[in-house]
Amino acid sequence: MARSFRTAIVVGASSGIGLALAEQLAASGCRVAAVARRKDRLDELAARFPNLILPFAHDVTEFGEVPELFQQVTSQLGGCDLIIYASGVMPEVGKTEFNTEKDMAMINVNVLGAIAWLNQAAIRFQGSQSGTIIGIGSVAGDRGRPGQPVYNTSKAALSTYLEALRNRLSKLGVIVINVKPGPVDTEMTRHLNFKNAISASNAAKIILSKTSRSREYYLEPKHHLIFAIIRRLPSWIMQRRGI
Amino acid sequence: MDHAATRHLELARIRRFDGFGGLSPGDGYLFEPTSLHELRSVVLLAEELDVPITLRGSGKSYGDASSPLESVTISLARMNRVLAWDKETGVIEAEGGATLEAIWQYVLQDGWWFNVVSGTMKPTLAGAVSTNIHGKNNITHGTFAEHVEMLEIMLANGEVRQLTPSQPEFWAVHGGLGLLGIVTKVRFRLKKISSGNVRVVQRRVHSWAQQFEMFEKFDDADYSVSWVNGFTNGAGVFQAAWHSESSEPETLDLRHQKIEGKLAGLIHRDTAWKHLRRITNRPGMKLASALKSNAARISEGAPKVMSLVQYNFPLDYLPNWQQAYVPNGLLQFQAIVPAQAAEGIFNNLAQRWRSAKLEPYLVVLKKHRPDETWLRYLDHGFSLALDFRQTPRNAPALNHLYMEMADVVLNAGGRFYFAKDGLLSPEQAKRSLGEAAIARFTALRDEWDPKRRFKTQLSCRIGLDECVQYARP
Repeated sequence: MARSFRTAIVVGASSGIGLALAEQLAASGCRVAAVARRKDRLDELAARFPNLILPFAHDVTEFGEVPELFQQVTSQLGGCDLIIYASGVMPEVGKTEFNTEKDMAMINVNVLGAIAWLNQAAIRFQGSQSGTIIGIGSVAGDRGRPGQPVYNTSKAALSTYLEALRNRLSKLGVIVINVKPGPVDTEMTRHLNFKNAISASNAAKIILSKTSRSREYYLEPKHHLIFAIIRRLPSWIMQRRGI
Repeated sequence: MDHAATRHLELARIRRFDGFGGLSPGDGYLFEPTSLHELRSVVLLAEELDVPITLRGSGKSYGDASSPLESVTISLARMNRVLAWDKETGVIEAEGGATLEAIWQYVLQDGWWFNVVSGTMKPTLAGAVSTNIHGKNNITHGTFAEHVEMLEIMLANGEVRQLTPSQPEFWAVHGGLGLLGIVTKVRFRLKKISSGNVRVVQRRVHSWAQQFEMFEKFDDADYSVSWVNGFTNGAGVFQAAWHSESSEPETLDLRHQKIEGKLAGLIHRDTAWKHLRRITNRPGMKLASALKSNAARISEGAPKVMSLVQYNFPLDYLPNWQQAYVPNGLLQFQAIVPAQAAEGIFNNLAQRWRSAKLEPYLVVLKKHRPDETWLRYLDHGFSLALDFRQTPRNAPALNHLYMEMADVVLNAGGRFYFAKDGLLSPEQAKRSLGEAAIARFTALRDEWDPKRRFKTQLSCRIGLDECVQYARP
């Protein structure tokens, strides 16, 4: 059964899964702090959900801003029962390209931004002995694959970080979840021309229906089997098959 | 928005605070000052950061009276010293964080006891003042306020004032729900006793009319209360109690007052709530209520002797008993109604909860007289305190029943005790307290706390404060 939340922070709420999560939480009556870089989009979102969505324009790579902003957000929100880190970037990377600028951007947004925000939530939830942390990971974090070396790395790092949070905080009553979507139709992935991608709205619906306990899970059930195999594949097979 | 760096509160101070009923959670930044100097620093920090302050005692109010809203949450747990004690006159002075438990353990051996005490010994003196507690002797001894000689309060600007009963503001702070300032010191009178025991008489009663007759018949008792069976319409067990008049110095010893460790020699009291949880449901409580009435049939004849602690603090008899209601919660409703209308109102309420099959598992009936505080909650009449078990499934129907019952009470000129309530709307609260009382109280807040530093979820819920960040559950 889906839990209901009174207050939530969604980081990365201007598009994709983050936007859909913010919309669905607000539609359920939850007060949502929508955090993202693009202020115009946040304002448009807030206008659709007056008094339920509070917009906070912020670039997640401005790590130093986070502690004070986190307090401003929780103060205006009147608490924080749930935080979802949905910010993520995946620039196009050529098959032979090694671009440190793009790679650093991915690490900054996908990993360090998550740590900056979720550390604040972890301190808070450790004190209140309650709360739910959700990180939007990816099946891409399961293995190092040739197409997106640093995107894979960033999602693997996020997964390990969330596992560590889960092992620290679960015993205090804090729920820590790592969701691993496969192909989802969002702005970030549109250039990949996924076939059979699920919509961001469906992804959000599934995520909000599975918040009752700490865990890591694949968004689509079929991926449990597929990635159980992929995780166990010897590297030489992946090299030979170009997986 | 502008995120220019300014000071902010240390996040590691965050704690979750809830009402005793477990239905009013809120997070706050906990501060536990040890002196007036430290306390003033905390108050001024809240001012500097423009953060509300919520005052937290022992957390025994059932609803949201001390639930914070991301506030600086001040506990006086470390300002809990007894400052002066005169065993000749029975006047004691202590810091606001001292609990009733600490006080009785300090004075009992000298032959003194409280004039007025709540059903639990856990409240702090500051909490007892702020909620103006009453007990099972309200009709003869009034409320806690009537026995206080002086209180000291720190205002929102850090100024400390001492108030005595001759000053009108003294009666605003009592029952002021912690919205005027921090009660840092209380001097109050105790009553002389020669024994640590009370003699208790029980009578089974079968209707509301009989209940009221019992209160008349035993009007010489030091204490009177009735435990009503919520599965009936007014039946229950009435209890009257008298302080033992003979000199029994050995009963004034703390060891005599100790509540024994095991129930029926088998179940440890500290873990008894786990067993209680198994029967905290409709059939279990129906059976338990019937058994209680039958047990009273046996003990009806002879008076029973109980220690003062066992008699006065039934809520402490089973530690953490409210845990039997989790993961759901305990919703309490306490209404005070005029004597002449009581029978009709209680009949009406009982019919409503019985037809909704939402019977309260504990129902306590007491007799009252008015108190003199600005936010007065008592009147000539009777109060009925109802404990309901709230579950996700019954919550909508229970909340609807609560509001309906509240309107029945208010339409008859009744009042509510806000240390117990967790649901009343601003309009209902206004009817309970009266517009003139609210206006007078607000005027004093305008003078003492113009920026409304002191806030709670309760003050937001009932419309005493405007709180943009308050999300009603």
